[in-house]
Amino acid sequence: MNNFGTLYHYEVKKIISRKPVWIMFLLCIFVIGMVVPGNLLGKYYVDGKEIDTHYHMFQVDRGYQEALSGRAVDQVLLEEVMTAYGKIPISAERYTLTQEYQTYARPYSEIFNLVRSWAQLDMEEAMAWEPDEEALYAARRETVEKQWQTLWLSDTEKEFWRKKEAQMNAPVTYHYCDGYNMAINGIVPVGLLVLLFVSVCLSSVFTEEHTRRTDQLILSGAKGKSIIYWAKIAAGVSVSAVCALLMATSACGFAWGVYGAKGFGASLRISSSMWSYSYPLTVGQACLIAYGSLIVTAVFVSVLVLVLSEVLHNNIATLAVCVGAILAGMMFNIPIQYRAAAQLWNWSPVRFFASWNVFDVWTLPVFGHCFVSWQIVPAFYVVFGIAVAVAGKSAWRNYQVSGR
Amino acid sequence: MVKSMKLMIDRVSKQYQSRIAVDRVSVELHKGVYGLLGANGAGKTTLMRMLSGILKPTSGMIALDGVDVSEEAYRAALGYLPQDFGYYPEFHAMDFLLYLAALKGIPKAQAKRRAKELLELVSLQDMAHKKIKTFSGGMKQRLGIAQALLNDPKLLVLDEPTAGLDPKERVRFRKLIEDLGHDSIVLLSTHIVSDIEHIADEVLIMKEGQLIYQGKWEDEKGDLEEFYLKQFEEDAHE
Repeated sequence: MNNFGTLYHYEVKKIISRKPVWIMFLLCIFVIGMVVPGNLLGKYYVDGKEIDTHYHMFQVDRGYQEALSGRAVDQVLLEEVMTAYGKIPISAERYTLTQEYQTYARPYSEIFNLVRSWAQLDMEEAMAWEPDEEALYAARRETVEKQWQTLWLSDTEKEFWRKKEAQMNAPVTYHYCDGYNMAINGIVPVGLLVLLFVSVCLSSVFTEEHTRRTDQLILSGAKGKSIIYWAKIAAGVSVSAVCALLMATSACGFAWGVYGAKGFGASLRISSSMWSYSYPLTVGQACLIAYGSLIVTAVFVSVLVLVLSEVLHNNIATLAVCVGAILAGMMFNIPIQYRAAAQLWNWSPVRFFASWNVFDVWTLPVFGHCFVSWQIVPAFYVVFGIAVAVAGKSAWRNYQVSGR
Repeated sequence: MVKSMKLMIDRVSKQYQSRIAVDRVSVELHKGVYGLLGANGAGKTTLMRMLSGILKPTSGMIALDGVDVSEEAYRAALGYLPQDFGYYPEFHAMDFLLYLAALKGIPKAQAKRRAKELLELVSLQDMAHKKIKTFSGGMKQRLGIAQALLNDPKLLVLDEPTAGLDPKERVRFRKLIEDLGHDSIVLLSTHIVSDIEHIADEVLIMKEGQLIYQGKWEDEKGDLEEFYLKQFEEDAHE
C-alpha cells in the first residue's frame, strides 16, 4: 500500500498550518487589491489646482467608451473622430482642458488614441490626419512589420505572423474592455507576488524536516525514501497552483469589480497595450492565457524551489537564491541583438509572467511550424519541472543523517 | 515451523574522513532484547542509524532475514526511535501517528485502530487530539515510543528510549520492551545500566567504534555497571 493520498494530505497540512504562509498570502491579496485598481485613487491636478478625481474621470471615460462599444473602427467612425478633434482650437496649450475637447473630442478619445498608436503619430500629426480606414489599417500593418524587423524576427517567423495578421478581420469592432486590459496590465505585480509567495512558503518544506530532525522518522519509514518525496512535491505544487489561482482570481476580480467584466470578445487589436500582437485573440482569451501561464510558471517555480531547498539543505540559502533570481529578472535585460540569449532570458520563469513576454512575437520554429511563447513555454515548464523533480529525488533518497 | 528471525551485521564500518565512528562491527541478533552500552562517541548512535537505513555504512552489510537494509521491505519491518527526534508542533498526537503509519505503509483503517491502541499503551489516549506543542518532554518521548511500534516491527531500534521518562514510566517501559523481545529483535541503547540489567537478554558494549563485548551478562561475571564504568576509567587513563 503506497498511502500516497494520506501522505499528500499531511504534507499539505504541514505547509498550510504554518502562520507565515497565511500572513504572506493575505499580504499578497491586500497588495493585489491595492495595485490592480490603484490608478483610480488620487486626484488630477493642473498647475497645483485640483481638476477632478481619477475615479470620476474614469467613470466619464467609461461612459463614452461604452457608448462606442459595438461600433466598427471604419471610415464613418474615423470621420466622426476627426471632426470632433477638429473642433479643438489649435492654439490651446493644453487641449484636454478646452471645453471643445471635453464636449466633442473626449467621447472619441479612445479611438483617437488607437489611431495614434497604430499609425505611430505624434499629437500634431494626429490632429492633421485625414481619416482613411484603409490607410489606417495599412499603417498599423506597417508599424507591426517595423517592430518585427527591430526584434530580429527570422523570415519564417515574419511569414508566420503575416499569416496570422491575414486571419484578422478588418474593420475591427470596438468594445469597452478595460476590465481585461487592467487585469492583463496588473499581471506583473501579481506575478512577482506569486513568485515571492512560492519562494517564501516552499523553501522550508524539505529543509524543515532536517532542522526539526523529523527526517530520521521519515527516512526510516518504508515509504520514506520514495512515495513521501512525491507527496511533498505534489503538496508544494498544489499549494502553489491553488494560491496562484486565488491570487489570479483576486486580481481579475478586483479589475472586473472596478472596471467591469464587459468586452471578453473584443479583439486584442483594440487593447491599449497589446494592439500590435498579431495572433487572432480576444482580450478575454489573452487574459485567460496570461493568468494560465502564470499558474504554470508558479508550479514550475515551486518544483525548482522544493528541489533547490533539498539540494542546499538550507531554507535561507534557498530563499536568497530565489529572491536574487527574481530581482535579476526585474533588473537585468539582455539586448535584443543577442536574440537567442534575450529570448531564453525572457522565457525564464522570473520574466515570463510579464504580459509582454507571454505575448511576444519571438517563436520557436519546429519543423517549419512556429510555436508562440504562450504555447511552448508552459509546455517546456511542465517537461523541465518533471525532469527537475525526478533528478531531485536522489538528493532526498541519499540524504545521510549524521553529525547531530 | 516459524522461521527464526535474524539480523545480520557483517563487518559494518562507518568512516568520516579520518575518524572511524564504527569499526568493523559484526554480530548476529535473533529474537530478544539486546542492550547496547557505550560511552558518548563510542559509535552507538551511528550504528543504530545504519541499522535504521538512514546512514549508509562505508563498508559491510546489514540484512534482516536476508533483506538488505537499503530495501523498502527492510524498513517495513523496522521500528525506530531516534535519540533526539523532531515532531510537528501543529499536529495532534493522533495525526502524528497516522502520518507515520502512512509512511510505514500501513492501510488507513488499520492505522487508526493501531494508533488508538498505542496511545492507550503509552497513556496518551486523553491527549490524542491535543497539539504536540502542548506536550511535556516525557509525553513526547512516549509518543515517540508509540510511533516506533506502529507496524509491529520485527526489528525495533531504540536509541535512549527511557530518556525523559519519570521512574514510574521507566519501569512500565522496561516491561513493555521485555514483552516485545518475545516476538522481535529489540536493540536498545542507554546510559542507564540498570535498564539493561533488568530487561536485556544480551549485552553489547561498544568502545571507540568497536564491539568489545557481546553476550549474556550473568551475575558470576560481576556487576555490569562496574564493568561499564571501568571502560570509562580506562578511557580516562589512556
